[in-house]
Amino acid sequence: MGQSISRQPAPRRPLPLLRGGPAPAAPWPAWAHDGTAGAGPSTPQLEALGFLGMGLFAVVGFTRGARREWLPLLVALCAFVGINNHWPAVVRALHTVQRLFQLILKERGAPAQDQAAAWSAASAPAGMVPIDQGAAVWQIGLFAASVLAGYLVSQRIGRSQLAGMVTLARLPDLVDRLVGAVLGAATGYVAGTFTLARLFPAAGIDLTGAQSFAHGYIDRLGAPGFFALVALFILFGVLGLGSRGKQVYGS
Amino acid sequence: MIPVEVVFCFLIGVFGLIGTGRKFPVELGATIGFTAMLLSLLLAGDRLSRLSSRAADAAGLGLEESLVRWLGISLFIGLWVGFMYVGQTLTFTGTWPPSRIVGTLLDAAVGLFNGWLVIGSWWHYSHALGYPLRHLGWFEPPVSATAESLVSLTPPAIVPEGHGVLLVTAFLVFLLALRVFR
Repeated sequence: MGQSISRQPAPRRPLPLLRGGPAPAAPWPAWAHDGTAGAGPSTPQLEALGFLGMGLFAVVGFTRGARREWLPLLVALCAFVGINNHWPAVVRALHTVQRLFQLILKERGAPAQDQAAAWSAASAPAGMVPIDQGAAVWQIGLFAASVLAGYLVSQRIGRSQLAGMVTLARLPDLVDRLVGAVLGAATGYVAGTFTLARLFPAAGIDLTGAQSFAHGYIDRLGAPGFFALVALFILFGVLGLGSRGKQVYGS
Repeated sequence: MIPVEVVFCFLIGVFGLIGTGRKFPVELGATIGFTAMLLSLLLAGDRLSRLSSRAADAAGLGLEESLVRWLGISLFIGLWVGFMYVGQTLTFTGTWPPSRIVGTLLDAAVGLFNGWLVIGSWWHYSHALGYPLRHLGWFEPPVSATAESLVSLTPPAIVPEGHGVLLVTAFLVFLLALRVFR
């Protein structure tokens, strides 16, 4: 058994700002109609926005079913971790792609006489994507593009067995759609957290922990809600057990 | 030294790997057993640890009381794990997977859920008894804030005090009904 070491929580890294400069105390007043510098968006307001986003994604998940919804969720999680924790590396990769395009466009497809000189000439202009100030727009755009790509790819490769909405009364279809809705809501949660944390950096929104939306949701869901979700996923798996196939268990 | 939460989370991850190896229809059978284990732990309350304490007194072991109680609970949980993973166990009939990736995700998920049931319960009782392994020199308090927050998400901690037994019983009946009517 390992020895426990009491550790201080890591200091929160400030997120790159949407419009550059130091974080405003509350970005909400810029949108206020009366022109007064009121308070920033309250936690209930942000929670309502997050909940709305989750609801929309859940509806999409319900229409697409569970077999298609896992991929956007995985993509959203990977994009969240990649962009949130490794943004400089992502920027470097984007700048490499940008340089390649510039090189190709400059030479118009012809091989350069001196490739090293051509590469350095192409890399001379500053990169388009900022690392610190004004990076949030790029981050949101890249995240949205990744999730959208996840949805489009899953539409092609996800083997949905759902019949139309008319046959909603079929238990396997209904469970498939409900699990899809849960996965969709989870995607919406990741997307909402990512976006709102950048739009309202002063709010200090996090994916997990006490400053996260999940903190409140889990409290409200409680143990019965949690066990009901687990039961739904188990039912989905059991209904997915076919009578024919490669491997038969328990016979 | 490795923080205690890393050890317990690693062990839960091991269950996830076991689930991936054993596959959903087999692992779900173990879930029935582990839910029954959790129910019996909730029903037993303090009686199990008191029983082990009395047994240690009778045997004249002369160990620290919290350590004896922890050993009793650990033995109980260990036996359940042994029963569920060794020999002929409950399985769900049918073909698996419905699709490769969804199947693998469900395999891992049910394994992680089993890990949460088993390791989470073990962690909860270890925490409640003040980590008796410190008497053997394998652990030194205090635990971190992360461990404190994670231990509040273990099964005995999240089930409500009033109707926790009812909730776990309902979940067990649901699993048994799935097995029977499948």
